[in-house]
Amino acid sequence: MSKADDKPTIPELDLVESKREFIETFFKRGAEFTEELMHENEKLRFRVVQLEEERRALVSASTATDKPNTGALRELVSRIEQLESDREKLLSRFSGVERENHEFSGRYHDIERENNNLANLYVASFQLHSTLDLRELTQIILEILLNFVGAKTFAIQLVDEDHGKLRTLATEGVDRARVPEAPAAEGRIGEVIKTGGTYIDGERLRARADLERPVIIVPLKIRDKVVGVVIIWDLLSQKTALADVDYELFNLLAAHAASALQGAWLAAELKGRAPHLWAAADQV
Amino acid sequence: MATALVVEDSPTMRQLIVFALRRIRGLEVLEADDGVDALRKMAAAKLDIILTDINMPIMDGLKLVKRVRSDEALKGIPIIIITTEGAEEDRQRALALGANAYITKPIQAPQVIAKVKELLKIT
Repeated sequence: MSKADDKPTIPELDLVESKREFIETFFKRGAEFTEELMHENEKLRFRVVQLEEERRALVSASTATDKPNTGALRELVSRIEQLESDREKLLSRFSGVERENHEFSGRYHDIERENNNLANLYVASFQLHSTLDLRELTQIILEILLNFVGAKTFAIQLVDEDHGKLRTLATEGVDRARVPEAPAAEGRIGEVIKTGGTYIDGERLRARADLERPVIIVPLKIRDKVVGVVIIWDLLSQKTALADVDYELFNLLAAHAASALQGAWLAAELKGRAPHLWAAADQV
Repeated sequence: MATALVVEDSPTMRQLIVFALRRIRGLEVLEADDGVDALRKMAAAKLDIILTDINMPIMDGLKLVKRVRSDEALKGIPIIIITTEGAEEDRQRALALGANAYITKPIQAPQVIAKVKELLKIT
């Protein structure tokens, strides 16, 4: 090939130039693209760092807010436990107070009953010694038996030592003439006169009156000597059982009625109105 | 102050009822022997409650209830019957005549006090 052949022709020069420009442009754009990628990469890294920081901040914030919640929860649980404990204590105290209240209520009722009994005994005793009039006194004894004890059919009988038998002073619920005047030393009445103890037929408290079978016999005593008896044949229908106060009233009558009757008889005798007890009894 | 009238011919029983009523603070207690005496006491004093027996001489408790209930000025007074008559028909008769309560003897003071307080609306 000739030198002339080695020299590029014009079109060839243009082509080379064109290729060179193309390559330069290509690399230039590649560099620009790389630069852009690097820049973008840098931005992404920054963003990653930024997000990482945000995440840390959030985690940190979350941890920071979790701590007080746990504390509050623990405090609440503790408070609930305290309240439960208080509640148990209060319940225990409440049942204690309730038990005490129940006891107080029982004691109150006992005291009320005792008060009622004492009132009955006080009034009965007061009335027994309020008069020296035999008729009035006998009426008081009948009223005590009727209104305080709840006796329905009954009699007061005194021992006639001269004849060794009982004589009727007064009756309630039955004619005096119908009341048997038994020998003072025989049967249940004789036993009460002998021993001085009250007789109570507990199984016949609700029975109807049978004049041959007393339900209650109360001795009337001056000191230890029985001078008479109260004989009860039946009780009022609403009186179904004897209460403590009834026994106390029997004791009161046993101890005070006879002496009160004796006092009334002596007063009558002093006034010259009753030379003999039976004459006084007949006035009743 | 409220005033109660106890109508009872037996002084012993009357004293027991009065004794019980005196435990009610502020209650003045008057006494009468029978229905006629009670009407006399009612004319002389303003009463808030009457407690009466049934079996009494001159005027019995049931006649007294009738008289009180037929009197315009007295008919509003509460009446408690206190009696030995425990039969149900006696109770019904007394309540039908206008008695407010019926208590049988022997009485329990707390029962009488509670009934009086209830009728007088005293706590």
